Amino acid sequence: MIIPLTTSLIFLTALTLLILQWIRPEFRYTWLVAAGGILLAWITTIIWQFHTPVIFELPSWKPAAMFPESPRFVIDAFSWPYAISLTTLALSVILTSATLEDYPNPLSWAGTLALIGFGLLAVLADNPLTLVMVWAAIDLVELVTQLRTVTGTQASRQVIFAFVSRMAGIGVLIWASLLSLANGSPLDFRSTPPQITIYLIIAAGLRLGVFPLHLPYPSESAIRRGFGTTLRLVSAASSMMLLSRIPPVSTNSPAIPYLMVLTALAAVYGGWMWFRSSNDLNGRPFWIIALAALSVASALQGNPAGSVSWGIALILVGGALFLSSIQERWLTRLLLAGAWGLSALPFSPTASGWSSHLTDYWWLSPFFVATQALLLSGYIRNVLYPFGNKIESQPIWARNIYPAGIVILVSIHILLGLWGWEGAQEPGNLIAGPLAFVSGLLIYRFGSRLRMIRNLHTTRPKGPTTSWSDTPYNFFQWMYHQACRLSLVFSNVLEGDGGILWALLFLAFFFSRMYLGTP
Amino acid sequence: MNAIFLWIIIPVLAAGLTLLINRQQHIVIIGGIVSAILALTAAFIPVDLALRFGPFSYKITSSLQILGRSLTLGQEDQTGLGIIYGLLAFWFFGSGVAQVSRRLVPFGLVITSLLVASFAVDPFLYAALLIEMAVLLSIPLLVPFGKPVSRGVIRFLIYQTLAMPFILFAGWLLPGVEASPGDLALAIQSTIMLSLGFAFLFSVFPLYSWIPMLSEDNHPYIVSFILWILPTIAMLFVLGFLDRYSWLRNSETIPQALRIAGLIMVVTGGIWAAFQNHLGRMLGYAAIVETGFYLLALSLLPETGVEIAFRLTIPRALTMAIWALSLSVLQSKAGSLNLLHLKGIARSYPVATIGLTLAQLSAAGFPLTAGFPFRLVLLEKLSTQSLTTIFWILIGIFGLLAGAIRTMTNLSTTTENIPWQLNEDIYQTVLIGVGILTLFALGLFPQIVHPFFRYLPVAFEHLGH
Repeated sequence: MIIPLTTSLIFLTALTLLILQWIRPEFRYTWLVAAGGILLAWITTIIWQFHTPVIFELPSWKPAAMFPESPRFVIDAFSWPYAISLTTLALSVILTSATLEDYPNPLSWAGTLALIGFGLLAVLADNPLTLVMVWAAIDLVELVTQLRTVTGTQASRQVIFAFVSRMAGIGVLIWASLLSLANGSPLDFRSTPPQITIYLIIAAGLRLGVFPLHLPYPSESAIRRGFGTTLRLVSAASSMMLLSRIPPVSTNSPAIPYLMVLTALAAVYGGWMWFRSSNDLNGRPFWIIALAALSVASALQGNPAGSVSWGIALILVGGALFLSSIQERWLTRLLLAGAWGLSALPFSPTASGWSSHLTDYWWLSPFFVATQALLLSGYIRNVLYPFGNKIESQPIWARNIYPAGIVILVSIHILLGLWGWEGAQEPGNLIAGPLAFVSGLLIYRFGSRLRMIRNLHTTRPKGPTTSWSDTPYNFFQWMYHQACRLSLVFSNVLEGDGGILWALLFLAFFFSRMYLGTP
Repeated sequence: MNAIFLWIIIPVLAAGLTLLINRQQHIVIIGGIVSAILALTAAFIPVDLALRFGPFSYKITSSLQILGRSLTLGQEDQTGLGIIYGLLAFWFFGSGVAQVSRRLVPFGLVITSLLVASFAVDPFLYAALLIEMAVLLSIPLLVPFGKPVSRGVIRFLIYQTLAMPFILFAGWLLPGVEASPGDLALAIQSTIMLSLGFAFLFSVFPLYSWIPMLSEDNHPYIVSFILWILPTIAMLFVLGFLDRYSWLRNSETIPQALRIAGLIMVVTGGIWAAFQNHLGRMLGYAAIVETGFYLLALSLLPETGVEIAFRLTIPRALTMAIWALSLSVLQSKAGSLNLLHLKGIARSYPVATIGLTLAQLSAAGFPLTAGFPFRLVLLEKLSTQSLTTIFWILIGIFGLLAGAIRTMTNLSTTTENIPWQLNEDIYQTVLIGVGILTLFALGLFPQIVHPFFRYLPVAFEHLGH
C-alpha cells in the first residue's frame, strides 16, 4: 500500500489546494499545505527504498479472459531513482516558489503536484498498458496547459505538433505490444523479447524528440520556472523510464547502427544548441534533447543503468538550474558542485552512463563525449551568468526556505551516485568520463575566445522557434494537403449524382471477387 | 406483466404521451425516466421467473401473440434490452441541451420499440419489415415539418430501403440451403443476397455516402442518434442470423467478408475523417469507423466476437452522444460546424470544446478514454491472426486522430488574446462534464460495465460461449 499512500498524498494535496482556492481564495496557509503534503510524500518515497521490490495492482479489468493484464505499478532498482528525483523536484518547486513574483500561486502548485503524481505513476508503470495510459494522461495535461497559455497560429501548431510526436510514441508502444502478442508472448517489461526492444527505444525516442530529431517542447513563453520546469522534466522522465525497462544485451535489431547515428546527431545538436542558448530557460528544450539522446544511446547499447543515470541527471541537475531565480554566492558554488553529477567521473551518479555492455559503437563515442562536454560547459556558463534578484531583496522566511529547494536537488543527486540503486558506486569508464569533464571545462574556459562562439554570445538565439528540425512536420503537412485533394475527389464522386451507380458497381466487383473468384 | 408490453408497447405509449406535452423539460424527464426504468428492469428482473414480494407473486412472461405473429423477449434478450434502453435514457437526457427533445423523445421511443420488436418477432424475417418501418419513421425525426428534405436524407432512405428486399430474398432462400446443404449454387445465391442486404443495412463502403451527407445537413444530435441505434440493432440482427443458421456460422467466407468489409470501413472512414472541415461530417465518418469495428469484432466469431461486439456498443454510444452534444452547443453559438467558423471558440466554450475533443479521441481509441480498452482487446485478438490487418486498422485510427488534432488546432487557435470564459449554461456544463467523467471512468475501469453483460452467454444459443 506504499505506492497508493504516496501518490494519494500528492493528489490529495493538489485537490486540497484547488478546493481552498475555490472556496477560500484568501486562505493564507496554502503554501504550508503544499509544502507539508509534498514533504510527507518525499519522506515516504525515501522509505520505498527499504521495501523494494513492491508491486501494486489496480482492480483487475474484467472479463479476465479479455484482459490478461491490468494496470500495475512496481518499485524497483530502476524506478526508485526516478521516483525520488521527481518527488525531490516537486519539493524543490514548492520551496523555491517562495521567491517568485507570482507568489502565492496555489493553482500552479496544484498543477505541479498533479503532474508529479502522474510522473510518479509513469515511472512506476510495470507493463505497457499502464504506461500508455499514464503517458496519455500526461500528454493531455500538457496539451490543455499549453493551449490555455499560447496565442497565435504558429504557437498553437507547435503545441499540437508536440502532442502528435508524443502520440506517435504511444502508437509505437501499442504496436510493439501487438507485435509481441503476434509472436506468441504478451509484452511484459520483465521479459521483453529481443526483437521488440527496438520498438520500445523508438517509442521513447519519438516522445523525447530524438527520432527523428525535433523539438517536442514548444517555445517557452508563458510558463517558465516552477510549473514549466515540472512539465518539461516530468514529461521527459516519463518517456525515459521506458529505456530503463530494456534488458541488458537484448537489443539485436539491424536498425540499431542507424539509430545510434541518429542519436549521436541529436545529442550533438542538442548539446551545441544548449551551449549557445541565451539563458537556461530558452535552452531547456535542448538540455532535454541532449540528455535524452545520451540516455537513448545507453539503452541502445544495452545499458539500462546508464540510461537511468542520464535521466536522473536531466531531472535533478536541470531542475536545480532551472529553478534558480536568486543570486547568492554560496548557492552559485553549490550549483557548480552540481556539475559533479553531470561529470561521469568515478562514483558520480552519471558514471554508469559510460559503462556500456556493447562496445560496437566506439567510433561514435567522440560525439557523445562532445555532447557531454557541451552540456557541462553550458551548465557552468548558465550557473555563472548574472541573473535574477539578490537574495537580500527577499523576505526573511523566503531567504531561509529558497536555498533549501536548491540544496535538496543537488544533494540528492550526489547521494544517488553513492547509494540506493544499481548505478550507484560505479567507477564508470575511466577514459570517456574524465575526458568529457576536462573538455567541458576547457570549452567553458577558452570557448569564448573563439570568434564564432563570441559572436553567438553577443547575438544569442531567441530560443526554439521554427528551424530545420521542423522539416519532418513541414513534409507531413505537404503530404496531408495532397492527400486532402485526393480524398475530396473521391468523396465528390461518391456523393455526387452518379454516386449510387458507382457504389453499385463497386459492390458488384466486390462480390464477384469474394464469392466467384473473378471480377 | 408481459415482456412485450413492458419493452415494446410501454415505450410507444410513452411516446404518445410526450407528443401531448408542451414543455421540453417535461418531455426530457418522461423520456429519460421511462427509458432508465426499462433499462433497470431489463438488467435486474429476470423474465419468466416468479418473484415474491411478501404475499404477492410476480412474473414477467416472455411471449405475446399479435396478428398471428409471435413476439418473444426472453432472458437471453435482456442484455441487449438493458444496454439499449440505458443508453437511450442517456440520449434523451442530453436532448434537452441539444434542443431537439420534442422530436427525438417521441420518435426515438417509437423507433427503439420497433427495433426491439425486430429481434423479438417470429418468424424472424419480419424483422426486416420492422427495421424498414423504423427507417421510415426516422424521416420525420430528421426533417422538421415544413422543411425541405436534403439529399442526404433521400439517399439514407434509398440505401436503407434497398436492404429490405435483399434480406427478404435471402430469408426465402435460406431454408432451402438448410434442407440441402450440398447445393452450392443455392448457398452462394443466398449468401450474396444476405451479404448485399447487410451491406446496405450496415452501410458498408461505398454504401455509406449518405452518412456524411446526412451529418452535414441535419442536426448533429439527431443524426448521431440514428447512427448509433441503427447499426447496433443491425448487429443484433446479424448475430441472430448467424446464430440461427449453422452453415452461415460455420462458413469460412463469412468471417473473411466481415473482416474485409470492416477493415475497408475503418480505413476509408478514418482517412476521410482526417480531411473534413465540417465537424458533423467528421462525426459521420467516425460512426462509419465504429461500425467497421463492429464488423471486425463479428469477424472473430465464433470465438470472442459476440463478447467484444457487445462491449463496443457502450463506448460507441457514449462517445457519439458527447460528440453530438458538444457539437449542438457549438452550433447554437456559431451557427455552423465548419472549422473555419469555429476558430478560437475554445476560449468562449471550453467545456463543449473539451467534450468534443475527448469524444473524438475516444472514437480513435485514445488511451484513458472509453474507446480504448475494448478496442485494444479487439486489436490483440486480431493481431494473433494478421498483423497486416492491424497495420491498416492503425492507419484508420491515425486518420481519426488527425481529425481530432485538426479540430483542436482550429478551435484553440486565435490571433487575439481573448480571455478564457465559461459561456455554457449550467445544464450543458453538468451534462457534458458527466459525459467526460464517464468517458474517463470507462477508460480506466472498463470492468464497471461487466455486470450489464451477465446474460450475454445465453443471448445467443450457439454464439456467445
